[in-house]
Amino acid sequence: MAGLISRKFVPQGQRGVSDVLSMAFMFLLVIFSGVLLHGYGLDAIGSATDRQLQMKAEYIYRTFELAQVENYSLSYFEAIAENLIQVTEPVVPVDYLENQIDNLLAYVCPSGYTLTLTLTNSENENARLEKFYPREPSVGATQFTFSGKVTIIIGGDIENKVVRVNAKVTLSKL
Amino acid sequence: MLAAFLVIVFISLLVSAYAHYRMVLSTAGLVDMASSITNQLVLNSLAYESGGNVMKYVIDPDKASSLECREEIGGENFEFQLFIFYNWENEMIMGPYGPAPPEGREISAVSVPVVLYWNDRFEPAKLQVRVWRA
Repeated sequence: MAGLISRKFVPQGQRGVSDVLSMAFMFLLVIFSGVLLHGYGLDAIGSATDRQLQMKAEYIYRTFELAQVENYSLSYFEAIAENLIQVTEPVVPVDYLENQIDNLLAYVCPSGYTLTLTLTNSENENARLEKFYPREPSVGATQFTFSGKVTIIIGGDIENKVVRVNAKVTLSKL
Repeated sequence: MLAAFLVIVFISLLVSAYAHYRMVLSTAGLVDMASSITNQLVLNSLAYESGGNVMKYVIDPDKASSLECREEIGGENFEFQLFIFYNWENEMIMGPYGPAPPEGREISAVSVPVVLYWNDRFEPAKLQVRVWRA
Protein backbone atom coordinates (compact mmCIF):
# COMPACT_ATOMS: atom_id res chain seq x y z
CA MET A 1 0.00 0.00 0.00
CA ALA A 2 2.76 2.39 0.99
CA GLY A 3 4.60 1.53 -2.21
CA LEU A 4 1.53 2.29 -4.33
CA ILE A 5 1.01 5.66 -2.68
CA SER A 6 4.64 6.62 -2.95
CA ARG A 7 4.76 5.94 -6.68
CA LYS A 8 2.49 8.94 -7.25
CA PHE A 9 5.09 11.32 -5.85
CA VAL A 10 8.43 9.56 -6.27
CA PRO A 11 9.97 8.49 -9.59
CA GLN A 12 10.02 4.69 -10.18
CA GLY A 13 13.06 2.95 -8.70
CA GLN A 14 13.48 5.44 -5.88
CA ARG A 15 12.15 5.10 -2.32
CA GLY A 16 9.97 7.69 -0.66
CA VAL A 17 9.48 8.52 3.01
CA SER A 18 6.49 6.18 3.33
CA ASP A 19 8.56 3.24 1.97
CA VAL A 20 11.31 3.89 4.47
CA LEU A 21 8.74 4.24 7.28
CA SER A 22 6.99 0.99 6.39
CA MET A 23 10.32 -0.85 6.25
CA ALA A 24 11.32 0.59 9.61
CA PHE A 25 7.93 -0.41 11.04
CA MET A 26 8.30 -3.99 9.75
CA PHE A 27 11.79 -4.15 11.18
CA LEU A 28 10.52 -2.97 14.58
CA LEU A 29 7.70 -5.52 14.41
CA VAL A 30 10.19 -8.33 13.81
CA ILE A 31 12.33 -7.23 16.77
CA PHE A 32 9.26 -6.86 19.02
CA SER A 33 7.86 -10.26 18.03
CA GLY A 34 11.32 -11.80 18.65
CA VAL A 35 11.37 -10.44 22.20
CA LEU A 36 7.79 -11.60 22.84
CA LEU A 37 8.42 -15.08 21.43
CA HIS A 38 11.54 -15.56 23.54
CA GLY A 39 9.85 -14.25 26.68
CA TYR A 40 6.86 -16.59 26.30
CA GLY A 41 6.89 -19.39 28.85
CA LEU A 42 9.70 -17.98 31.00
CA ASP A 43 7.24 -17.90 33.93
CA ALA A 44 7.37 -21.70 34.05
CA ILE A 45 10.81 -21.66 35.72
CA GLY A 46 9.72 -18.97 38.20
CA SER A 47 6.62 -21.00 39.10
CA ALA A 48 8.68 -24.17 39.63
CA THR A 49 11.13 -22.37 41.94
CA ASP A 50 8.20 -20.78 43.81
CA ARG A 51 6.74 -24.25 44.40
CA GLN A 52 10.15 -25.37 45.67
CA LEU A 53 10.26 -22.40 48.09
CA GLN A 54 6.82 -23.26 49.43
CA MET A 55 8.13 -26.78 50.01
CA LYS A 56 11.18 -25.36 51.82
CA ALA A 57 8.92 -23.31 54.11
CA GLU A 58 7.19 -26.55 55.15
CA TYR A 59 10.51 -28.34 55.67
CA ILE A 60 11.77 -25.49 57.87
CA TYR A 61 8.57 -25.70 59.93
CA ARG A 62 9.02 -29.48 60.35
CA THR A 63 12.65 -29.02 61.36
CA PHE A 64 11.64 -26.66 64.18
CA GLU A 65 8.80 -29.02 65.09
CA LEU A 66 10.87 -32.23 65.28
CA ALA A 67 14.54 -31.36 65.87
CA GLN A 68 15.67 -31.33 69.47
CA VAL A 69 17.34 -28.38 71.15
CA GLU A 70 20.99 -29.19 71.69
CA ASN A 71 21.62 -30.81 75.09
CA TYR A 72 17.85 -31.19 75.68
CA SER A 73 15.28 -33.77 74.63
CA LEU A 74 12.61 -31.16 73.80
CA SER A 75 11.91 -30.00 70.23
CA TYR A 76 12.37 -26.32 69.35
CA PHE A 77 8.63 -25.68 69.08
CA GLU A 78 7.90 -27.49 72.34
CA ALA A 79 10.60 -25.49 74.14
CA ILE A 80 9.31 -22.19 72.74
CA ALA A 81 5.69 -23.13 73.55
CA GLU A 82 6.68 -23.94 77.13
CA ASN A 83 8.18 -20.48 77.48
CA LEU A 84 5.16 -18.79 75.88
CA ILE A 85 2.62 -20.41 78.13
CA GLN A 86 4.87 -19.49 81.06
CA VAL A 87 5.19 -22.80 82.83
CA THR A 88 6.74 -22.35 86.24
CA GLU A 89 9.99 -24.12 85.40
CA PRO A 90 10.66 -24.34 81.66
CA VAL A 91 13.00 -27.17 80.67
CA VAL A 92 15.14 -24.99 78.37
CA PRO A 93 16.27 -21.61 79.80
CA VAL A 94 15.03 -18.63 77.74
CA ASP A 95 18.46 -17.13 76.95
CA TYR A 96 19.91 -20.43 75.80
CA LEU A 97 16.79 -21.19 73.76
CA GLU A 98 16.85 -17.80 71.98
CA ASN A 99 20.51 -18.31 71.08
CA GLN A 100 19.77 -21.78 69.69
CA ILE A 101 16.79 -20.47 67.68
CA ASP A 102 18.96 -17.72 66.14
CA ASN A 103 21.58 -20.29 65.15
CA LEU A 104 19.03 -22.63 63.62
CA LEU A 105 17.34 -19.79 61.71
CA ALA A 106 20.73 -18.84 60.23
CA TYR A 107 21.43 -22.49 59.35
CA VAL A 108 18.16 -23.25 57.54
CA CYS A 109 17.50 -19.88 55.86
CA PRO A 110 18.03 -20.05 52.07
CA SER A 111 20.30 -17.32 50.68
CA GLY A 112 18.46 -14.35 49.20
CA TYR A 113 15.50 -14.75 51.56
CA THR A 114 14.40 -13.57 54.99
CA LEU A 115 13.13 -16.22 57.35
CA THR A 116 10.56 -15.24 59.97
CA LEU A 117 9.44 -17.49 62.80
CA THR A 118 6.31 -16.50 64.71
CA LEU A 119 4.73 -18.32 67.65
CA THR A 120 1.69 -16.98 69.48
CA ASN A 121 -0.14 -18.36 72.49
CA SER A 122 -3.72 -18.88 71.25
CA GLU A 123 -5.10 -17.91 74.68
CA ASN A 124 -2.96 -14.83 75.16
CA GLU A 125 -2.00 -12.78 72.09
CA ASN A 126 0.61 -10.87 74.09
CA ALA A 127 2.61 -14.02 74.69
CA ARG A 128 4.36 -14.04 71.36
CA LEU A 129 7.78 -14.81 69.93
CA GLU A 130 8.90 -13.39 66.61
CA LYS A 131 12.37 -13.89 65.21
CA PHE A 132 13.79 -13.24 61.79
CA TYR A 133 17.01 -13.83 59.91
CA PRO A 134 18.98 -12.05 58.47
CA ARG A 135 16.76 -8.96 58.83
CA GLU A 136 13.15 -7.86 59.09
CA PRO A 137 11.22 -8.69 55.89
CA SER A 138 10.40 -5.77 53.62
CA VAL A 139 6.75 -4.79 53.15
CA GLY A 140 5.15 -6.22 50.01
CA ALA A 141 7.87 -8.83 49.40
CA THR A 142 6.77 -12.17 47.93
CA GLN A 143 6.14 -14.56 50.81
CA PHE A 144 5.92 -18.33 51.27
CA THR A 145 4.20 -19.33 54.50
CA PHE A 146 3.57 -22.56 56.35
CA SER A 147 1.67 -22.59 59.64
CA GLY A 148 0.36 -25.04 62.21
CA LYS A 149 -0.32 -25.54 65.88
CA VAL A 150 1.84 -26.85 68.70
CA THR A 151 -0.05 -28.59 71.48
CA ILE A 152 1.29 -28.77 75.02
CA ILE A 153 -0.34 -30.69 77.84
CA ILE A 154 0.30 -29.28 81.30
CA GLY A 155 -0.18 -31.70 84.14
CA GLY A 156 -2.31 -30.19 86.91
CA ASP A 157 -3.17 -31.32 90.42
CA ILE A 158 -6.74 -32.22 89.48
CA GLU A 159 -6.80 -32.36 85.70
CA ASN A 160 -4.46 -31.82 82.75
CA LYS A 161 -4.70 -28.63 80.70
CA VAL A 162 -4.22 -28.51 76.93
CA VAL A 163 -2.66 -25.32 75.55
CA ARG A 164 -2.23 -24.56 71.85
CA VAL A 165 0.39 -22.29 70.36
CA ASN A 166 0.08 -21.04 66.77
CA ALA A 167 3.32 -21.41 64.82
CA LYS A 168 4.17 -19.85 61.47
CA VAL A 169 7.22 -19.93 59.24
CA THR A 170 7.53 -17.31 56.49
CA LEU A 171 10.10 -17.02 53.75
CA SER A 172 10.24 -13.58 52.11
CA LYS A 173 12.33 -12.44 49.16
CA LEU A 174 15.02 -9.96 50.24
CA MET B 1 14.66 -7.90 -1.23
CA LEU B 2 14.23 -6.36 2.22
CA ALA B 3 10.86 -8.07 2.64
CA ALA B 4 12.47 -11.45 1.91
CA PHE B 5 15.21 -10.67 4.42
CA LEU B 6 12.64 -9.79 7.07
CA VAL B 7 10.70 -13.01 6.39
CA ILE B 8 13.89 -15.06 6.78
CA VAL B 9 14.73 -13.24 10.03
CA PHE B 10 11.19 -13.82 11.34
CA ILE B 11 11.29 -17.56 10.52
CA SER B 12 14.67 -17.96 12.20
CA LEU B 13 13.28 -16.09 15.22
CA LEU B 14 10.36 -18.51 15.37
CA VAL B 15 12.68 -21.53 15.27
CA SER B 16 14.97 -20.05 17.91
CA ALA B 17 12.00 -19.09 20.15
CA TYR B 18 10.57 -22.63 19.89
CA ALA B 19 13.93 -24.14 20.91
CA HIS B 20 14.13 -21.65 23.78
CA TYR B 21 10.58 -22.51 24.89
CA ARG B 22 11.40 -26.24 24.89
CA MET B 23 14.51 -25.57 26.98
CA VAL B 24 12.51 -23.48 29.49
CA LEU B 25 9.87 -26.22 29.83
CA SER B 26 12.56 -28.86 30.25
CA THR B 27 14.31 -26.82 32.98
CA ALA B 28 11.02 -26.15 34.82
CA GLY B 29 10.18 -29.87 34.58
CA LEU B 30 13.57 -30.81 36.02
CA VAL B 31 13.14 -28.36 38.93
CA ASP B 32 9.74 -29.94 39.69
CA MET B 33 11.22 -33.45 39.44
CA ALA B 34 13.97 -32.46 41.90
CA SER B 35 11.29 -31.30 44.37
CA SER B 36 9.28 -34.47 43.80
CA ILE B 37 12.28 -36.79 44.30
CA THR B 38 13.35 -34.88 47.43
CA ASN B 39 9.84 -35.25 48.88
CA GLN B 40 9.87 -38.96 48.03
CA LEU B 41 13.21 -39.38 49.83
CA VAL B 42 12.27 -37.44 52.98
CA LEU B 43 8.74 -38.79 53.34
CA ASN B 44 9.37 -42.42 52.34
CA SER B 45 12.69 -43.82 51.18
CA LEU B 46 14.94 -42.26 53.84
CA ALA B 47 12.30 -41.75 56.56
CA TYR B 48 13.32 -43.05 59.96
CA GLU B 49 11.23 -45.93 61.28
CA SER B 50 10.64 -46.51 64.97
CA GLY B 51 8.51 -49.37 66.25
CA GLY B 52 6.76 -49.79 62.91
CA ASN B 53 5.97 -46.06 62.67
CA VAL B 54 7.44 -44.03 59.83
CA MET B 55 8.66 -40.63 61.02
CA LYS B 56 8.27 -38.30 58.08
CA TYR B 57 10.82 -35.47 57.77
CA VAL B 58 13.28 -37.43 59.93
CA ILE B 59 15.91 -39.16 57.83
CA ASP B 60 17.84 -42.27 58.69
CA PRO B 61 21.39 -42.09 57.28
CA ASP B 62 21.70 -45.91 57.36
CA LYS B 63 19.07 -46.11 54.60
CA ALA B 64 21.03 -43.79 52.29
CA SER B 65 23.83 -46.26 51.52
CA SER B 66 21.43 -48.93 50.21
CA LEU B 67 19.28 -46.50 48.23
CA GLU B 68 18.69 -47.02 44.49
CA CYS B 69 19.36 -43.54 43.12
CA ARG B 70 17.09 -43.84 40.09
CA GLU B 71 13.42 -42.94 39.65
CA GLU B 72 10.96 -43.24 36.81
CA ILE B 73 8.46 -40.38 36.83
CA GLY B 74 5.93 -39.79 34.06
CA GLY B 75 7.70 -42.20 31.71
CA GLU B 76 11.03 -40.39 32.10
CA ASN B 77 14.04 -41.77 33.94
CA PHE B 78 15.92 -39.62 36.42
CA GLU B 79 19.07 -40.27 38.39
CA PHE B 80 20.14 -38.44 41.51
CA GLN B 81 22.96 -38.00 43.96
CA LEU B 82 22.51 -36.89 47.55
CA PHE B 83 24.52 -35.43 50.41
CA ILE B 84 23.57 -35.04 54.06
CA PHE B 85 25.04 -32.03 55.89
CA TYR B 86 24.92 -32.26 59.66
CA ASN B 87 26.53 -31.00 62.89
CA TRP B 88 25.70 -27.39 62.05
CA GLU B 89 28.24 -25.77 64.40
CA ASN B 90 31.12 -27.55 62.67
CA GLU B 91 29.48 -28.78 59.48
CA MET B 92 30.19 -32.34 58.35
CA ILE B 93 29.02 -34.19 55.26
CA MET B 94 27.75 -37.72 54.67
CA GLY B 95 27.92 -38.87 51.08
CA PRO B 96 27.86 -38.55 48.20
CA TYR B 97 25.32 -41.33 47.79
CA GLY B 98 24.52 -42.34 44.22
CA PRO B 99 26.37 -41.83 40.93
CA ALA B 100 28.16 -38.60 40.01
CA PRO B 101 26.24 -36.35 37.59
CA PRO B 102 27.41 -36.68 33.95
CA GLU B 103 29.39 -33.84 32.36
CA GLY B 104 27.48 -31.30 30.31
CA ARG B 105 24.03 -32.51 31.41
CA GLU B 106 21.34 -30.22 32.83
CA ILE B 107 21.24 -30.70 36.64
CA SER B 108 18.79 -29.39 39.22
CA ALA B 109 20.04 -29.20 42.81
CA VAL B 110 17.79 -28.66 45.80
CA SER B 111 18.80 -28.31 49.45
CA VAL B 112 16.19 -28.67 52.18
CA PRO B 113 16.40 -28.59 55.98
CA VAL B 114 15.53 -31.94 57.53
CA VAL B 115 15.88 -33.72 60.85
CA LEU B 116 18.59 -36.36 61.09
CA TYR B 117 18.35 -39.29 63.46
CA TRP B 118 21.94 -39.46 64.65
CA ASN B 119 23.45 -40.73 67.92
CA ASP B 120 19.96 -41.35 69.34
CA ARG B 121 19.01 -37.70 68.82
CA PHE B 122 16.93 -35.72 66.36
CA GLU B 123 19.33 -33.15 64.98
CA PRO B 124 18.79 -30.36 62.44
CA ALA B 125 20.52 -31.18 59.15
CA LYS B 126 20.31 -30.46 55.44
CA LEU B 127 19.65 -32.80 52.56
CA GLN B 128 21.03 -31.80 49.18
CA VAL B 129 19.76 -33.67 46.12
CA ARG B 130 21.11 -33.30 42.57
CA VAL B 131 18.82 -34.61 39.85
CA TRP B 132 19.37 -35.13 36.12
CA ARG B 133 17.70 -36.97 33.25
CA ALA B 134 19.14 -40.48 32.82
